[in-house]
Amino acid sequence: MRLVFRWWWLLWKDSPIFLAQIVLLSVGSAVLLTAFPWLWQYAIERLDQPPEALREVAGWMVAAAVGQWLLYMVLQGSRSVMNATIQWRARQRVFDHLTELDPSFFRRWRTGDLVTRLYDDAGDKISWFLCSGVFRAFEALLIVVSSLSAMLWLDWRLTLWVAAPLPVLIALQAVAQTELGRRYLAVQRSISAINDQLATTFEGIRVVQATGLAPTVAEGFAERAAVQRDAEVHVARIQQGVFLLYGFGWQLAMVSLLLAGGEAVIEGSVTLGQFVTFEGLVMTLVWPMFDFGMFVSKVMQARVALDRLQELMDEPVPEDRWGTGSPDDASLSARGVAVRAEDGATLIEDLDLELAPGERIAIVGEVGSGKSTAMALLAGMRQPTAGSLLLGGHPRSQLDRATARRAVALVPQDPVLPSTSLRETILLGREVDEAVFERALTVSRLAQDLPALPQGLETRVGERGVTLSGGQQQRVAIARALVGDPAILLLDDATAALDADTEAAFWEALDRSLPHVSTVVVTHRLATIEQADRILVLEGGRVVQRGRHAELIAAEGPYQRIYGRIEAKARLA
Amino acid sequence: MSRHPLLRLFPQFRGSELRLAWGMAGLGVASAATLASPWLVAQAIDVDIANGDVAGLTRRALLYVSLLGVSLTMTWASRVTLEVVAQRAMYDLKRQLFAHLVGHDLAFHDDHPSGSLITRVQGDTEALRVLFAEVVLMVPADGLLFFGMFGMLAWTSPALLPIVFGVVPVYLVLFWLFRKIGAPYFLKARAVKATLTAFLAEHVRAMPILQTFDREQWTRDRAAAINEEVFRAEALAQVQPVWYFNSVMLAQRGAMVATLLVGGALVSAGEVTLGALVMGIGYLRLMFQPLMRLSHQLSTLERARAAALRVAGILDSQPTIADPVEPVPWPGLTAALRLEEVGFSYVEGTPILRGIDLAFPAGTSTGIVGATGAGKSTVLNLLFRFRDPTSGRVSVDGVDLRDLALGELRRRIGLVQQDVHLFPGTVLDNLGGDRERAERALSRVGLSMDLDQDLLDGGANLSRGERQLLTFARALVDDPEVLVLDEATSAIDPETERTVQAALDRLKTGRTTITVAHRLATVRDCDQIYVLAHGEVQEVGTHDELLARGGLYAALAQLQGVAA
Repeated sequence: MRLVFRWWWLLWKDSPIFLAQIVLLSVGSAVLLTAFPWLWQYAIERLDQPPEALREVAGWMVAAAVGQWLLYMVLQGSRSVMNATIQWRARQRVFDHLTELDPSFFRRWRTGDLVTRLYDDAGDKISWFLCSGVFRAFEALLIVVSSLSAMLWLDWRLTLWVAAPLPVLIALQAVAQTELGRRYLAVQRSISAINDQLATTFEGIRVVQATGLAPTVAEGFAERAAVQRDAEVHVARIQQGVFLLYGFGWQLAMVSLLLAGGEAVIEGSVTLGQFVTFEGLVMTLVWPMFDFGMFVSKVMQARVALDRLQELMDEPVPEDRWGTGSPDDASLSARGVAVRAEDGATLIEDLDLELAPGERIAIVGEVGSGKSTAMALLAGMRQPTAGSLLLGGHPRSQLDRATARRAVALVPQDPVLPSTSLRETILLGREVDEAVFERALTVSRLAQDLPALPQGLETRVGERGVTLSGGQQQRVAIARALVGDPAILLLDDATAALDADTEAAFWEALDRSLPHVSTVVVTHRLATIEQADRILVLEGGRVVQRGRHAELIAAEGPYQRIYGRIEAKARLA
Repeated sequence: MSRHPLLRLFPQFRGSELRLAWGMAGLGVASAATLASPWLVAQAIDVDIANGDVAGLTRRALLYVSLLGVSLTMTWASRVTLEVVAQRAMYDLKRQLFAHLVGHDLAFHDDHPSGSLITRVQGDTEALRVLFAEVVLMVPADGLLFFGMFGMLAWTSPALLPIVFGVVPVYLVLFWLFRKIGAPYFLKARAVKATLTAFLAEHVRAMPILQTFDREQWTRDRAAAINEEVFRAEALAQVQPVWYFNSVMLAQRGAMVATLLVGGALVSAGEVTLGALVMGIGYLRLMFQPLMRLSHQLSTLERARAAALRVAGILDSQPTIADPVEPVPWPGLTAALRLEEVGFSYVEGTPILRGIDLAFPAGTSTGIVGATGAGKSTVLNLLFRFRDPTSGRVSVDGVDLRDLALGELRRRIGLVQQDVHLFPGTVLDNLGGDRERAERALSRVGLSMDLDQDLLDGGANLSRGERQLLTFARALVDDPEVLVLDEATSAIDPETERTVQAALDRLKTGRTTITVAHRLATVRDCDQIYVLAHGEVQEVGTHDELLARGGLYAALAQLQGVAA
């Protein structure tokens, strides 16, 4: 509960005016809501008087109705706006936090899970509750208080009669809603069991059909679907009960009123007008009952969602590990570097690498040999767990963050391109000289594709725009890296989708336009490997061979084998 | 075909007619009881209170309570009954859908990712159930209530009728306005939220790389911009029901005051009783909820219609690969299983197989090797009739596979996939459900296991070797004459490899085997080996013959170190 309150305050504290407005409007609207039936008694009393008397009361009633209409419009409008505001604040808060987290966090968490939390949990799951849910319950409380006060004012004995069923109703409501919450969980579980089975079946449809498993799988499905069906019927039983409670609960109060109130009217202790007012007041209590029930049932849901958000907020932001210096030159140097995975497994062991300014190093190795980890290490996305890693002669911790990051640019294996205009995807909001931008386009060989795109650089790309080919995506990723004018360029198998001619043209342009840029490249392209100043052969996270192509190919060893395989593949393809 | 998609669901309710009828009748009784309560109040005012009859008042109150009791019980029982009817109908529909999907051909499954099929089976049937619960079930009851009020007023105090029901056109206009004005905002909110999901997915995934470009602040700013857009759309969309709801409320209040004014005059003139006036106002309140429900019900109807169309679309699509009209019995493999001049393409103009001839003689073992994309897995698909050849034919002892019953064919040919795929359920479920045959298959691969053991999460509670052996056992349940082995793409540890290899050797004996392999070591002992390249047979022979030829196979063998 403290968690709910903490988040509530956090998300509300910047809107004191809305807060005050909603509180005041709730009070006003509750009073006017009660005033409407209150006026009935005067109306009824004037029924046997000349019409002018009745008209005056009618005027008051219209005023109360219009007043309440206005107040309630503003009240509900404010609540709606705040629902949306809370969603906005919660989502932004969690998202901002995520941007600060270490890359290891993103390896541990599935993207889908994070998106669900940001979208759902920081969305509808909490926003309605933290504003509308809370303030509707508040308003309901006010209505109950003001209606009961009005009734007490009229006749306290009759009020006791009428109000007697209310606590029972509220208690029943709360019990039912809690039970409902538990039953919902059972339904949720049965649904995930079914989804699980559906996914495995459709993904393994070949096996199902080849091994004649269809009947057993269908039987299993029927079983699970029956569990879901029964769980939902169970929920329906309770839910329909709850509907009845709020739909008909007030009628119990009405019976009390008929019995006790009718007698009072006959005795003459209550007027007929007051009796009708009582009836109207009882009716105003219908919706508050429902709002209390909703509050109780949603509070659990909101708590679960907030827990899931808090879990993300509890992920520590890595402490500031930057300094103020800048790299001396475009060199990279790793000495005895080891990298371990979060679970302790060794990914890189004893890595020595010296990249001099303007040099090119190629890294080759089998799948799983640690190439991508090595690139992530050089790019600063993984931290060495032993040894020293120097960028331009300094450890990263002594360098200014922006300068250090600008100095090294990684082109990853799988470029994730935000769906926006091509220009924005390349620039990512960085301000660069037009000349640098043009050069990035030319060197990455992206310039040649622009005329074919509907709006050139302004073409929207990605999921909601033009779909780029694999080769185009890779060239965009290269341009994106070059736009920052890096001293060191890291290409992690980033040219696989380019044809040989385009790739050759890229290297040629890079050498001509940016000869001072040092590069480390992981590749399966023979020409690229052969032209590298140095080649490192990785096996099981260790450098097992190093040297130039001519030396390595002449020596018995893993390089010969890997090179041979790449060559054979190239021939078969 | 021209029938409304929702009407096609009616057969789903067959067998539940009685429940359906009694549920609807129950709702009718409940509506009548609801209608009667304001009337009872009116009677209490006009008769009992007016006459000072305390005993009469008590009787009336007790009548009210019993009526309420009947109404509550009936409403609850009939709604639950109808929910059971709906749940059963949807359960049957789900099973029907699932059975249809499981039997559908591979081409269909390749076109429909499993996520979209899950939405069909779960999401669309849910939309239909909601339609039933919120529309089919509520609308008649609401309608009965509405016309019942009309009738009651017309019967007891017709003079009040025009003024009480005069508000209905106002409600309808407001409703029309709400749908007209509100709809674009709802659409916009939905569209913006879709943008948000896409943004979140892309940027969360790209976060580490964005960090290397020092783009955190920019990413946050972009998120803020989209978030603000979502805020705006969301706030505007949420405000729509607010004005609608409040305006309906105001109309209701206005109608009450009008009823009071007009009715008050009538009461003083003695044309209408006070009780009738109170009843008229009570009916104005009752009218409110069904009308508020209406807009929700309409959108439910639209969603359900779309869902019904999609479900019907799936049920109507027939697999192109199906049993022949008059299946020929399995001839028994005594000569050979053959691919005869088989051509195949997924997309016209880009052939995968270019008229190849392969023969798998009875009792022999054959290996198929080749680079990725050479056509190996297509051959496998053709053997099981997951696909039919574009030209040429696949035959067993001269009988075209297309003339055999599918089930028979797939019982006679077993598939061993080394990429383990287990299904949620027990070991027995994964072995086809027949205890005796399952036991026999297990013992044949040398695995002892409790048949009723539950497999957690794809068999996570089994060792790698056990899982693999279980898939072997599954292939042996029907004691197939032909075994097709699809080699695993991922490597396994040497220990498991040895266990698996021993079991494999055992299950191959006495059967015609076809091994689709990536590693040549797997096929070196085969009686013949086909080397495929670009959808054609490049070489064929035994391991030694192929090595001696010094062609593609020999080159591959050298690379993989299996020359000796």
